[in-house]
Amino acid sequence: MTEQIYYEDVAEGGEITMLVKEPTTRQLVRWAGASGDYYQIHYDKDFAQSKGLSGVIVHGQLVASFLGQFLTDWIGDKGSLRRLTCSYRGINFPGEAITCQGKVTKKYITDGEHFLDCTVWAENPKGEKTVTGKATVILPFKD
Amino acid sequence: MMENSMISEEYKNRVGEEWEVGVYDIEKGMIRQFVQAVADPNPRWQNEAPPGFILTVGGEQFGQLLGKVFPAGLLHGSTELECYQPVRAGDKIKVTVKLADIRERLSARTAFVTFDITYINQGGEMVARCRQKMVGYDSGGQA
Repeated sequence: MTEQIYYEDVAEGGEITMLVKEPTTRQLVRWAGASGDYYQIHYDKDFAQSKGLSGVIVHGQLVASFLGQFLTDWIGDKGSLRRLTCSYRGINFPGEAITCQGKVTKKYITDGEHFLDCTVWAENPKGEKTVTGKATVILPFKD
Repeated sequence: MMENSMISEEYKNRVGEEWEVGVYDIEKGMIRQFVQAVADPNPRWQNEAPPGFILTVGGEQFGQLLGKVFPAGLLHGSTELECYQPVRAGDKIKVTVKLADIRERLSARTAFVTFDITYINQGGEMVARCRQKMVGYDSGGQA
């Protein structure tokens, strides 16, 4: 997709290329089918409203998968995502932008593998961090 | 509602127990369905599945277990995913879930439940593992 990034190209504190996703209700239905998560809060507006919400909400694990895409887009074909943690702190509604962002917190070499630790998050249009987490990726290196 | 109905009585004393969720043949079509649901256009995902895909393997059966554990309602607290090797079409993945921890906060009418899920391939290798933390609440509480 994009040019391969290498361990040497990245500095601690560096930002990860942002990814903006805007899931529709149709995408939530697709996700329900793909994930097997048929909780009605994600497709039945009356049910969602009975739970005190204004409408259906985006599945947390879909946002986690957006963060996965955000990271795999950035690390390229030769990179691998080793660890991703996500805490679901807020709500995303379909039709609204979800902006995936992150920063490199640490780079280190262990057993010949070149690791980056990152902090990652997803924001809603109000600027609230609805999902926050940490990631560890392995990048190729130039020798 | 009983004061402690956030978790069904049946599961309260089963911390440490492990269940086999199922054994799944990973097909190219499942990977395609996943990347369409995420709307991830990366051409890398043909035979190789994106890291987040594994979260959906056995997802429907895990959801059925959650429905039994939390009779009233639940929220997703967090996901901690570790990937050790890529999952590919043709793999046969055995999914096992352990009820790792239950912490009830009766004053807040919530219960924090930790599930540890492991994913083992046809060669007996662990390809990924995931810790899912769920928050159960009773009908007196609000999401």
